[in-house]
Amino acid sequence: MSPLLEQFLGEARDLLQSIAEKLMRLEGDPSSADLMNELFRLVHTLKGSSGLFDFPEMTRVLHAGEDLMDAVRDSKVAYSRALADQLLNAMDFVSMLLDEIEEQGTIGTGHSGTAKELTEALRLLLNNSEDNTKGIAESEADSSQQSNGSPEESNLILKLPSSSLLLSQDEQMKIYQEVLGGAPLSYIEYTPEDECFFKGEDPLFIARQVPCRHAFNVKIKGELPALDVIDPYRCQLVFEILTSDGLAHLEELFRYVPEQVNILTIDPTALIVPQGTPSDTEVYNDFIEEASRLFDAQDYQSLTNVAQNVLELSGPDLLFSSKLRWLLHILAVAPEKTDILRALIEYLPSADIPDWSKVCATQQTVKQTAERTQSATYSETELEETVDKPLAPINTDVSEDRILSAKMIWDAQINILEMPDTDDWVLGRLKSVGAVLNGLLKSIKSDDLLAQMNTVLKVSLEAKAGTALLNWLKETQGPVPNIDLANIDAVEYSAVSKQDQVSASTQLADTETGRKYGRRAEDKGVKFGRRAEDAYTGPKTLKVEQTKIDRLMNLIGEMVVSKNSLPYLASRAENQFGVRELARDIKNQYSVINRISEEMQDAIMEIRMMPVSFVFQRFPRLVRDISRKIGKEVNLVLEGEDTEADKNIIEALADPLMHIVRNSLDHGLETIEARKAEGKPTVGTLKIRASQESDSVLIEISDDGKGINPEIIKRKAYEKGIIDETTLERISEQDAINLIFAAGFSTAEAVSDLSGRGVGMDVVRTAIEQVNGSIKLASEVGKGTTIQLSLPLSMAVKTVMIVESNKQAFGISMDMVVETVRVPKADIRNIKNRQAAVLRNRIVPLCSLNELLALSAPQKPNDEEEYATLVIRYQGEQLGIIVDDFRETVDIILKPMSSILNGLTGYAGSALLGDGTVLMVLNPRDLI
Amino acid sequence: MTIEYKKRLAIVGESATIDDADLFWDWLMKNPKGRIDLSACTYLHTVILQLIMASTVKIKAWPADTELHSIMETAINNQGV
Repeated sequence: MSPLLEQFLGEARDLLQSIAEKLMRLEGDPSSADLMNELFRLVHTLKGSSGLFDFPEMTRVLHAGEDLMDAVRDSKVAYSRALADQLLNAMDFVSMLLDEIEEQGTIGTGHSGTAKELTEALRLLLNNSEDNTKGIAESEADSSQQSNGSPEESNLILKLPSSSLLLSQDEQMKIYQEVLGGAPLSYIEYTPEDECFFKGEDPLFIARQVPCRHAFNVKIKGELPALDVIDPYRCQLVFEILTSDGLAHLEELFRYVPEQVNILTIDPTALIVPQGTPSDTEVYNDFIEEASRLFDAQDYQSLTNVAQNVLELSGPDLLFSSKLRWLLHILAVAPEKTDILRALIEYLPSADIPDWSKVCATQQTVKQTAERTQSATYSETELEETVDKPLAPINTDVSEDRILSAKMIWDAQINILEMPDTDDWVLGRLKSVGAVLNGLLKSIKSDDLLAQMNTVLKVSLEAKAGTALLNWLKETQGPVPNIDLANIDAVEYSAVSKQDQVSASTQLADTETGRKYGRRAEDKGVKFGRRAEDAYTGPKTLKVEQTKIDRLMNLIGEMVVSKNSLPYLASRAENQFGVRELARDIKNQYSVINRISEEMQDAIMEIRMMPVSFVFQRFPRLVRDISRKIGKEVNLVLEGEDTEADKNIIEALADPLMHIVRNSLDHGLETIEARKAEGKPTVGTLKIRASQESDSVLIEISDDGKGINPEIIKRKAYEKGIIDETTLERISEQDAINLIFAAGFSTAEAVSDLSGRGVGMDVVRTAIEQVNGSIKLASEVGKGTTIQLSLPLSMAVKTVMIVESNKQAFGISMDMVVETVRVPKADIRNIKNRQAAVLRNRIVPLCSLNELLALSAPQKPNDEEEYATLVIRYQGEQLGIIVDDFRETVDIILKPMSSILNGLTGYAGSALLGDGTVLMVLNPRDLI
Repeated sequence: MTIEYKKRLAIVGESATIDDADLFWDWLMKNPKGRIDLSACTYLHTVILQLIMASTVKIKAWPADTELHSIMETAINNQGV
């Protein structure tokens, strides 16, 4: 998951939370314009962010919500509870999508339907408002009418929607066979909106993505205008496709334009469209009679033979022959479809073709009345086929669900009755079980069971014991076998049987029922049933003010300090009071506390860590703007943006880095012409790379520009009086280049608004050194310059070495210390008025700390006349600082000097020690 | 340029995008009796298809891509159905 997406998830959840909260507050104060504006802004923001990602379902729903809120804001729509419900529902959907994104990184394909319904519901609220006189009841009636063409209803289509998708008979037969074999069959009508080209859509391309196409047709909306008046950028085409592709995949394919697509699942029977020239069929009367007889006698073999003979004698282009071919085909591939066969035979003499919706509907009614006692709807073979197919999974699912739920409720009642009872409870329990069973049996229309149950319940209530009812429940094998689905089917929809399934064919036959079903579907709407307590997933990220983290830092600092007092305590116990055992215990405890506090410190540090991308992110824009301004072409390469460091370090890095990048752009990289002349690629490269190396962050800024010419630097430095004549002659190239870090140095002839004021690199170096970082520069004339910044990962906790001088303790940061040595007095040589000693075959200049601190007392050697010398790294060289004595190293939280001590040089800051004393930490860079 | 315009013949390259629409439209209007060679074409933007459907030009060569060929043939021949 990309960091951007992670950020979006966090933000989206916050926004959802706020949206819910605002909606709640609006309920109490529906007229508040402020709240309304705020709510609109929140929904708007969320929509905007979701648009960054490929979540069309989410964006669409939010967009509808935004439009609605906009209308509410402009008082075009009145705020109502229904509106809030719908909006909350939409937000639940978004929240569900967020969950899914978090789990899987993306949204599954199955949501476009829900998204569409939610969008429609929201839009409906918007549209209704345009005629404010309409009440809510009316609006619901509207919606039911609108939804008449919705896919649930037209799940199975028995007539191909467009005559223009005419297939040849062979093709029809082939597809028919495939669909019987289990392949789905869908008809897609894709009507792109007129303005679709302006949204970057290419409808033909989208339509061509549909796999397993059987037919593809391009229609024109109305009439295509003549070429000279046509608006070519207004889409006038409609695409019709017949495909065997799965519904889910199709929905995914058209997920960006769901409102422009109508996908209908086609019953294979719809494919049986005999075609040809109608002819006089009188000559075939004998055959037709024979065929009917054979069909009634179910002698399909003879029927096939006879039909084949007749077909050979008939003209191939006749409608009659086409019907015959279909008859033969169905006899061969699906002889169990008797109604179809019968209809085909009946229609043989006619010039028409059978209307399958009627054929199936009649069959349905006949069978239903005849076989009501059994589950009639399903026993009928043809329909059984239909329902078993994956095309109509909803129907079967619902009924199975119902049966399953009924059984579960039934079993639960048995469990309840089996519980041990006391007298006080039994009556209440019986009544409750009775009420549940009453509702259950009513809902499944099982009147005889209901009557039985009531009798048994009465007996049980009189006996004040559940045994009778329990036995009855166990004997009556649950409610399941008694569910009479056909019965339910025929009954008007009652409130409880809303979800009842109806066979698709019945719906089509009975338009009245169909309409009602449609309305029911709308009534149900899309409810996620999320209650506030379910929806709460808990934010995964916290936004915390920095001051709180700082406080935590200070506290852990104090903890580290007080922890450090334990060893003192231990040594006092041992030395002063002579309790050795106690001292050991204290030391043991100390090691435990030490470990925990170290871990805690790490954990707190981690909170403060930020990726360098926070600094890097502004460079692409900066580089683009600057390079445009100065007419250079620059390709910026950023690497290692997820390298992390402490927030303070990252913040301290921002300005120096900006200076360096500007310098590179202004002085480093050449103009296009100059680069061409040099034979370099015209586009210069500026690379900023971050990486982590043990305890520090390395940032390398390199360009492939002209590099720094040490001669020019030397001359400039000399002109400005930064170096003298002798240095000018002796200075090495690298040292010369390093002169650019000197204060007041600038090589630029003119001060541009980008750089050249002579404060650049000096300020950069100071800023980097302030956070204990270092800066290195390498440059090759004509090839480019590389600047390397090395920064500590964190600056909060430091390890310092305590040294003693003039009876005072001072700290020196451990990362400067190279080694500690004792130099015999005799080994110290005076070179002019400077002291030096040879250490490991190197001359190391020495200076005394007292001298540096302007203390008059001389350094004290130890008994063997040796001076304690701290060798530190100073500007790439080693330097010995003579002190009186070394002490231990400690972890401290370095506090910078504050208030009036702020201007004091020579000190990096102060820290509290375990014994309560204040340790001044030296900054040798300032001192020397 | 993905469409090459000759005197009375437009030769469509591998793909004809929406960017080609303006020029193509001009050409169609100037050459009502022109012919189009689509043989190399595998991708055709809806705009171009719509223009061809609105025009009176003849197709000199259908796309070699059978899928596009059949789509275009149905589209142009079934026009108005």
